[in-house]
Amino acid sequence: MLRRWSGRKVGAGVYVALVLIFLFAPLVVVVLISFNATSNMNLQVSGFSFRWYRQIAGDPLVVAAFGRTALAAVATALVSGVLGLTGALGAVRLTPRWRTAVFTIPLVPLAFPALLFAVGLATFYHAIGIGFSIWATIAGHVILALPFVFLVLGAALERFRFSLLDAARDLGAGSFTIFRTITLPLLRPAILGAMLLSMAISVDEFVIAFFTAGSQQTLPLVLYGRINLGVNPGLNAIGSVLLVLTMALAFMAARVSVLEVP
Amino acid sequence: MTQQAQPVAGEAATPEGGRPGRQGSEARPPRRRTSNARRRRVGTTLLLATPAAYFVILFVVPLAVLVVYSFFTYQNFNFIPKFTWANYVQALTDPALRVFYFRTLRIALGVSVAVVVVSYFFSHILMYVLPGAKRILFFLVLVSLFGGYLVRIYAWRTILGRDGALNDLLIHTHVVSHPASFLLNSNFAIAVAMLNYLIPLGVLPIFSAMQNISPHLLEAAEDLGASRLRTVRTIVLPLTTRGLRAAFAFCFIATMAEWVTPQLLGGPLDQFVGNQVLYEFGETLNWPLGAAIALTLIASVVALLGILFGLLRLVTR
Amino acid sequence: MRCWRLVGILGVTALLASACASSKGSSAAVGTTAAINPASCNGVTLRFLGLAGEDGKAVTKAFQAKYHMKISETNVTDWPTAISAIKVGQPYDLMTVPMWYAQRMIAANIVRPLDTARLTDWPDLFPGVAKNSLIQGKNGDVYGAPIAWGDGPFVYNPGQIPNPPTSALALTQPQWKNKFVLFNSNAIMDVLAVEDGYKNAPLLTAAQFKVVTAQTRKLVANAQAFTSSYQDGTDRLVSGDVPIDMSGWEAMVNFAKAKGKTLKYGFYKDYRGGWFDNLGIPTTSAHPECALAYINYVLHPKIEAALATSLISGTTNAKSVGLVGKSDQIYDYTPVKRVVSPAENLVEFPDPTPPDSTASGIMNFQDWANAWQSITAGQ
Repeated sequence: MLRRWSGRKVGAGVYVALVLIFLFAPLVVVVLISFNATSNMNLQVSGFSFRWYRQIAGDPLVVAAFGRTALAAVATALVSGVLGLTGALGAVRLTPRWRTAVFTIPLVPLAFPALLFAVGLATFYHAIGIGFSIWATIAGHVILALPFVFLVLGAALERFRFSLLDAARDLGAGSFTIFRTITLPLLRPAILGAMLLSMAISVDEFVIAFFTAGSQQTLPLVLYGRINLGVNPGLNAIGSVLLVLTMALAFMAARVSVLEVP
Repeated sequence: MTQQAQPVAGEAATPEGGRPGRQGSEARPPRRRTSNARRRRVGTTLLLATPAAYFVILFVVPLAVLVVYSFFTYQNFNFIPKFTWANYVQALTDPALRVFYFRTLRIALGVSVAVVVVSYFFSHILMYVLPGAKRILFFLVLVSLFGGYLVRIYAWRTILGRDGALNDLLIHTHVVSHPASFLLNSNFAIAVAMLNYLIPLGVLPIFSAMQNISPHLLEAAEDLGASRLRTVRTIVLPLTTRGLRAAFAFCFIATMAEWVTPQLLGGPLDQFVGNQVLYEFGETLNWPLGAAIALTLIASVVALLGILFGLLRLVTR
Repeated sequence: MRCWRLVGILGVTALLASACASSKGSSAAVGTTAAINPASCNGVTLRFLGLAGEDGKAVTKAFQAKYHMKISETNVTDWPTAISAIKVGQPYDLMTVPMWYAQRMIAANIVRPLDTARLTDWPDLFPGVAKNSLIQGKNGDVYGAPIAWGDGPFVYNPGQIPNPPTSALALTQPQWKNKFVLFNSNAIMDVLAVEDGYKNAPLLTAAQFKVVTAQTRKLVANAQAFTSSYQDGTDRLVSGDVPIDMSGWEAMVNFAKAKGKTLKYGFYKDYRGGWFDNLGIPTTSAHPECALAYINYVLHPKIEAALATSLISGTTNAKSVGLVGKSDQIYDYTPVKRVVSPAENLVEFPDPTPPDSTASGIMNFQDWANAWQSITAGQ
């Protein structure tokens, strides 16, 4: 273990705390506003109430959409996780020039305005006769999430010790065993992190869902579409619920991760 | 696609690509080694083929639709399939568009650099200074991405507004005498919100890349007399380049394509090029022009990144 | 390699074909002069695309029950997304046609003409909306059934500014810097043009246009921000960040009351800036007959009154005025009661931007779009 002066550790602790405060400040406000007694979207309210939580729990459209969004998020994470992992593993052994190309191309969807991509996707679906469904939406969300997964795993694989895999193979382990017992555990924090990110992207995505989900509406479709009737802390209530759920997921992911090459 | 079974960079390269110290003592038939290499090549191609196929079908094809549209002619709120270069000419030469583009570019560069620096220090601390808490801190950072984008932007309004938390703090501590108005509806607000969203995106690849650099490496270097700064500069940074580049690329691209944050947190003269694409697409129903602007945007972003990274490689050689 | 090229060509051709096909669509008027046939709605699910609440789902329960039909709504708050959905060929049976988008939607073949002769309550609708040229095609066909209207007042916080200026031009003065917000729309140029005294606004000569754009430039530089919606404007006023919203709506007063804040509205001199929303039938509809029957039902006096009340907007049926709810009585029905000719549109429900093709010497839609772009670029 590194033994360092406590001064450095204190400084580091302060830095980390500041960054986390910055990251979570708006979220604290989001949660606080969700308890407003009136439909105010700021903190200038003196009343405390659970009314917004009651409202969303009692709205069957919202509850159904919540379930669908959760399904979409998990499916997006899994599909993009698998595709990103296979791609990154495959790309690692390429010559440098190919590697650069392969790691740059998946970035393109990130730079493309979602509305235009959705229009192209919807036209394509229409042409080959694919109708509206949550799966059509998931397919589109994976394209948005894939670049993140792919690039993060690429970074994680940059210094990966493939000699470990060779050693295992020489000792007689099959490819899948090697993958399951060596590669996967060492990449777990990166994979889980990337999958969490994919979920974040899918959960709040409006445009592609609008063009592909049809009547199987996701949470953003139900919520953001209603804005013209008034913005109220019901949105905050949902955001808070999502935060709590994600925190639970994150704790589990943290427990399950093995970190660091020995 | 031809590739040879490359020795993975960082390993000592041996004449036959095997590990050092293995030649001679065992009789390993050469045929097995060749078929190993071929199996690996086929495996690699298969591995790459799956996501590639998915990407082509579900992205390249929709992209092709937009490319086709971008060459159509716009006429009276419609577009007709008559080939024209006019949209690209306008996308590339319109002076107003150029203003939006460079405005966005300046902020994208600034924000990306800031995020990479902040994320780098953060990841470094997690890995090497406070390793006991790194697991939970890492995932906590990612949790901050959830909560919904619209309510988060409203939250920033509450924090940065005239009667908001930050102004209250500044007035209480006598930094200012009346509320600072530049905090909201300004580039400052846009930058703050973007940083808030992008730091987790920066930490993710950098931290993941650092996973493979054991703290013992740094310890060893320091035992040999190198200062912390030198260790970082000569060992950690070069070994995490892909992570740093990924972090920069995410932030840069995300900011260049952004339109919601400037719409809700920016002033009237702070709108980004993404807002303009939507204006052409939606207000004037000029799909061909909107598509042309979007496509030139992508091309320029990818080109810029390529140039930046190429330069970086030259400088750090 | 060669077979890939072939697949590529075939693929692109298919896409081109579908792209062209989806931008066409039937533009035939619905039905003949036969009576409305609501039985065509038996077991049908009508798909609605538009602003939340304007499908009338909550007020047409009797109709839905009688014909065992359903309304499935997809809500939008921005028109690029909605219009794109129809353009790529997605089937919707009803959609919101906002007054200031109507001409564009008609030109782009998004909605089909309505056979108003078959709508039983059509003659009772206020002429100011029903005979408005903005929802008519070049040959006089009507493309939308008006269901709600509002004015374009400015809304302000009397607690911060008890006496706001009633001149839009006044806001270009330095003392109003950062004190107002407005929509990101060149419609504001129409307000300035009317105040400048240009009788034919928004049809302006090059010289007049130059004056207006210079004023708009100053106005935009003075503004604190663009609001993205009436709700966004309400929230900005309620939080105290800004005292004036130039692009307002009476309903914002009601929204603010629910948030515990009192707001008031006023009108800029000479300018009403009203708007009205219509129900239209998209060209991609699979059930145009049922959609028309549904619209017919929505226009009945009691139903229209209930719908307008739920939307906190003015009602469009003269027989509904006495039936609207209390919150809806903030509207002044004088403007819509008059017979409105195209020239008079300018005062009551003005189209704030010119059409795509204008007489020579007069600035057209594209000129206005370009001007707005360079104004927001800061040039």
